[in-house]
Amino acid sequence: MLKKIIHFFILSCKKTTFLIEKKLHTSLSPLEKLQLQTHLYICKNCTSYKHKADFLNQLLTDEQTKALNENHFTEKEMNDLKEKFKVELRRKTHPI
Amino acid sequence: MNIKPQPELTDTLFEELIESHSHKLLNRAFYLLSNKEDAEDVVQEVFIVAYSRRDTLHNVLSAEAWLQGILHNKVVDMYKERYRKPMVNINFEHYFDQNGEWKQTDITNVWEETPDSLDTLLDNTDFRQSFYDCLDKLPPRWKIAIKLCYLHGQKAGKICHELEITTTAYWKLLQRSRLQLRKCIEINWFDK
Repeated sequence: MLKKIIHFFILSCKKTTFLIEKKLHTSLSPLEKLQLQTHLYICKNCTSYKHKADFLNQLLTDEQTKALNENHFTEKEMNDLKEKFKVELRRKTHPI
Repeated sequence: MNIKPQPELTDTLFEELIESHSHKLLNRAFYLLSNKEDAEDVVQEVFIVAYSRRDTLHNVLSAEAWLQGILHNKVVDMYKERYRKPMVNINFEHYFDQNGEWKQTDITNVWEETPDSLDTLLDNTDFRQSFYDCLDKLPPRWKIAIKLCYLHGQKAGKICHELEITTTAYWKLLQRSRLQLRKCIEINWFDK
């Protein structure tokens, strides 16, 4: 029972981690902000989770930029593919 | 007022689009699908669809965004076709008890605590590889949600619409994926 009352005010760890994720991608409502801060203030585990979530977020952002700028195809492959795309398009759109 | 007539997207102009945009589209497709053949197939389809809808492109300058939009739709279709399992059924039992508290307290295991050492980790190729492997091990539909999330500058609405899920389901999915990623990194890197 006590747990239930406490959870009403300061959320469970499961809900808190949800808010931690949500905060990375959108802004929280004032109540959510308060709930998150209060929970983090008293919970070592979730604070630690938050650090790791922030780090993962940075990794994923970074990975994305790198992956998009990296060349996964050689120049020759790229040129061959361009030709292939054109030929295939002509074949599909102007059937003989 | 002098309004320039829109030049019609002739076949020659369209071939120029292929010439100038294939490069970026292929790399993006590879990022989303992690596979060369799939990336080639999907980009081929993008051009075929784009050609059939070429009258909807109002400005050649916005061709890149237009083609990317078609690519994302195609990629999502590809995932939907392959992995028909519903993606909303996300299970948290492994991590939390009925009260929603952490089951294991190993979460407090420190990784590298100072911000500096984390930066060093970002540049560590072995660590990166280990992280990619973890990302690849996620269920395919979670993976695509994460990748689209970061591609769209993390705008939830658009992604949810593309994946046909609710926003809450989407946050939960990201939460669950990251719990998994954290665990995987912990096992494969920090505990070694």
